[in-house]
Amino acid sequence: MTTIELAWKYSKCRFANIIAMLTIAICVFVQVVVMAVLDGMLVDYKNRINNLGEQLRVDLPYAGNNEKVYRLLADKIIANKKVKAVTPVLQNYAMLNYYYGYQPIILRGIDIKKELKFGNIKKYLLDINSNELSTLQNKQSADSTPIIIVGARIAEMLGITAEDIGTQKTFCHIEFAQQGTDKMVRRKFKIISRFRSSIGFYDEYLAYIPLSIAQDMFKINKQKPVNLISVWVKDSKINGKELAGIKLAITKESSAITDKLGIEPVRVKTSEDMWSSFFEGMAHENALMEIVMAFISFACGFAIFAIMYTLVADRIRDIGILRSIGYSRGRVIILFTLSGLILGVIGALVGSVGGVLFAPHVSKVYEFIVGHPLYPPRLFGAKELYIYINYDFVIIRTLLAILVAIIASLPAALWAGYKEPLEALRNE
Amino acid sequence: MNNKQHLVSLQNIDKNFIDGENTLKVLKGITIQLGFGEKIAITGRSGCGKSTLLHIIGLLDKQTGGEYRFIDRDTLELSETEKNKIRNVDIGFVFQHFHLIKELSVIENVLLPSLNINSRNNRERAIDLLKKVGLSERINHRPNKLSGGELQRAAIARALINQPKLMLCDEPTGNLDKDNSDKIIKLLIDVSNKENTAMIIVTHDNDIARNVGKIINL
Repeated sequence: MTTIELAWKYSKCRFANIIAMLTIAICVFVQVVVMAVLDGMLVDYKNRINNLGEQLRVDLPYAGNNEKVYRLLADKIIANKKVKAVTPVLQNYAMLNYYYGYQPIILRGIDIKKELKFGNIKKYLLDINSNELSTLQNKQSADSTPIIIVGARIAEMLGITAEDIGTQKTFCHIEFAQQGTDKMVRRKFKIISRFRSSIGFYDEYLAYIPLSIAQDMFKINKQKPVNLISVWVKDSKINGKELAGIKLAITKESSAITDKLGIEPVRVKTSEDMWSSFFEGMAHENALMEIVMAFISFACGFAIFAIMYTLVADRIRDIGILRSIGYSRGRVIILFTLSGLILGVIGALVGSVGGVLFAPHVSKVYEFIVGHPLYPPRLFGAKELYIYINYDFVIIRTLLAILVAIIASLPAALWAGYKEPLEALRNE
Repeated sequence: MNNKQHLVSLQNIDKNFIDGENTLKVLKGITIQLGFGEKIAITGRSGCGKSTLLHIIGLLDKQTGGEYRFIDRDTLELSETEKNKIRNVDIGFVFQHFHLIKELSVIENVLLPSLNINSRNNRERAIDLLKKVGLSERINHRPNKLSGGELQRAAIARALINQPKLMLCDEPTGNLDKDNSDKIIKLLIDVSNKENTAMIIVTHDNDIARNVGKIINL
């Protein structure tokens, strides 16, 4: 009989073994599920940000002939095979005047026709029908008031509900400073739709107006100012590395143009650059959670250590038998370490597979048991909890759990190995 | 085989146990020589050091004084690895309390010492030995399903699996009734003869000792 066969026999018989295996399984299971939820939140945010806004943005210098720069750059950028579209944007700050006071907002002048075709606004619009869609493509509403699409939180602030859309209740007033003057200009808009990205910043501060209206509002010396270029890539699930590659290519191409024109270089940012502090914060939180989870592994290690010690103490007589029939100290140590390894492998595999299978259902199960969603949509902003299973993490934590099981088994195995055979044989 | 060579040669063996300031002399000047295939019984009152002597012969313990040579090798010069190998290959133990591993079946217990032997026929030999000891119908049973006599038969088969040169039996009938004791002693003598294995039996029962042959009284 080989040592591994005996270790296998030893691993499957006792109740304590099952407890040790379950301890490891639960430890890995919890880690996989918790990190699937937290990583899911991060990935979900990235997806939402990437889907609502552009994937790359080129900040143009405010001075100079921006329309010309835009045209030259847009031609170059669109030549990139990975780029789907390039749209001009004139974005500025303004104040929304509402019943209780003022709310600072970002007014984003966009080419609505292009954005509907290439961007993803449509996906996030809450109130949209075919009539409104045609309105969206025009620059103004039927009563010739400029149209505006506001974030859902802005609409809430204004007291506008879904039923109000398309009625006379949906007017709002926006004040903005005209460049070069101290004068605040007030303008009336008609809210024709609301969007909910479920990203607080967008929903609370962002409003879309037609580009030409924005150009008309904010122009001072330039006929058609543009202060940034939105770049939409073909692959909506593009990863950060590929985006960085496109960013580099655009930066190189644009510097040739800006050098030639003798203007300040443009700044190219990916969506992840724009939200870097937010993503870094979330990633940092996830990393902290991973550390907490690693501590859980070590705590689990102590439990396995105690169980293994009990198991060895329970087998001292067996150790005496084994030594008397020629088992060396080393072989006894290997035998009990192998027992720990077997418990670790089975427990870790059960935990990781269970975690991977359970994670997608965690929200439903939680809701079934507790009665409310794990992350209420009102707070988290998603209809469903997004789960992302990082298989690298799963593999690492499975291996870590196995390692912890081996390390936790070692003291007991060493104790077993160094037991004197006679002393062990006398143990009853 | 060299006829002059002894399997076990004990010369003036002493064994003392030190307990604080007290020294307990358990064995004093024991000299025994055992040839290949020979059988002896060691008898004596309880506490006279029979089992201690057996443990020294079985390389589970060391003498305090004197010389013990196993197949002409001084056992004090043997490394731990060599002792393990001798215990595994050359010596088979039969204990009073049987000492079978309860998680393993009878045949698995018998095969347990075959770890260091690269024989393809281990299983056949185990089955053959179990037939010889009358346990062919019980090979897949767990020890908790066997009677005392059957447990000791399984332990004898385990002791013989590696065809040892020496079988050490420490009160092998101590936990058995008279009927079973007689059967086990008969079996031990019978299989050791068939396997040409030397045997040392420690017992306090003079009838058993007489059945074995040569008697050494401590």
